[in-house]
Amino acid sequence: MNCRKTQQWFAERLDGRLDETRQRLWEAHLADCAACRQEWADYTAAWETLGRAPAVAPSAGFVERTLRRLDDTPAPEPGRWSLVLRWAALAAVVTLTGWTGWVGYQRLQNERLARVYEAVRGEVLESEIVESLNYL
Amino acid sequence: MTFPDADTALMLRVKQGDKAAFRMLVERYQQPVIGMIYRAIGDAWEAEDLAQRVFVRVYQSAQRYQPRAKFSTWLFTIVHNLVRNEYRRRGRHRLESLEHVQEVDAGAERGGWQPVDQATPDPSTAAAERELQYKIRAAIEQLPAAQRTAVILCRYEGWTYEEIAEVLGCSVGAVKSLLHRARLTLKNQLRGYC
Ligand SMILES: [Zn+2]
Repeated sequence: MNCRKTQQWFAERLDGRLDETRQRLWEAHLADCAACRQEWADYTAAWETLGRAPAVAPSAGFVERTLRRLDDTPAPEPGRWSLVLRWAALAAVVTLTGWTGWVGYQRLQNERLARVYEAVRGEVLESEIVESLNYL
Repeated sequence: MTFPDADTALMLRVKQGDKAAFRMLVERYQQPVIGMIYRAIGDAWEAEDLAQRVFVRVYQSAQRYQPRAKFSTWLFTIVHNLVRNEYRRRGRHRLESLEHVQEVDAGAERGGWQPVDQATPDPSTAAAERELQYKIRAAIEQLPAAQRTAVILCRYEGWTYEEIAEVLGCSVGAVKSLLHRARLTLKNQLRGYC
């Protein structure tokens, strides 16, 4: 055991998380090393000192004030999946509307083309007959 | 179906819109939540305001709540995040002068807020005690967010490394490292006050 390793184990030693073997090694080093003993003393003293900071108790009426605050805030947020689903539904509606519109438009165009084609074809036939009559 | 703790069962009732269950959770957790925030930001009134925001967020997030972890772990993750955001909002090194801390304390006392530990030092040591409190607050405030939360949960709430790891979303080894680094900083900050 060296000083570096010994000090690296300070946290686990303080929190009682060193297993028996490591604890024995750690204590053996500390018994022999004044520098690490001093470091350990300062390390634990600071932790102890933190305990001198006072705690606070909630002031009277805290629960009621919290519940009142709840009434002033918007309703619970929908869950993340619910939000995802909402967006997915919106996207589906937009896509479907677009697709239906496109298909309808295409159908309309096809019908118009067919009518034009029929009309043109009719005219062509008519002129062909006139032409052949002339020929005769 | 059994849940890991009674609080989780209460939270599932909150999820169904049960305000009585929510009230029970607030009653049960007001002390540790206010306590943790107070230790992190050093101001009793702001701690209560932030604690209320924590509970409101709990209620608002109820729909999304999944009982994967203990309720307290989930709750203190919210506390940790809110405190961290509060620090960001304020800017990190915002600790006011000792005089301001004294004003806040005086105001809090006037307003009915009481420290839990009422052991009042005699007047001659009151100033020294107040200075020590200021040093402790300053030392905790200056820690990075994760170290600060780890220190508060370990020192004042007695949480295990495993529980702290869940709140911070890190490994148990990382918690050990956070605590060690925090303690080294605290050792230097509090030198001469121990
Ligand atoms: Zn050594």
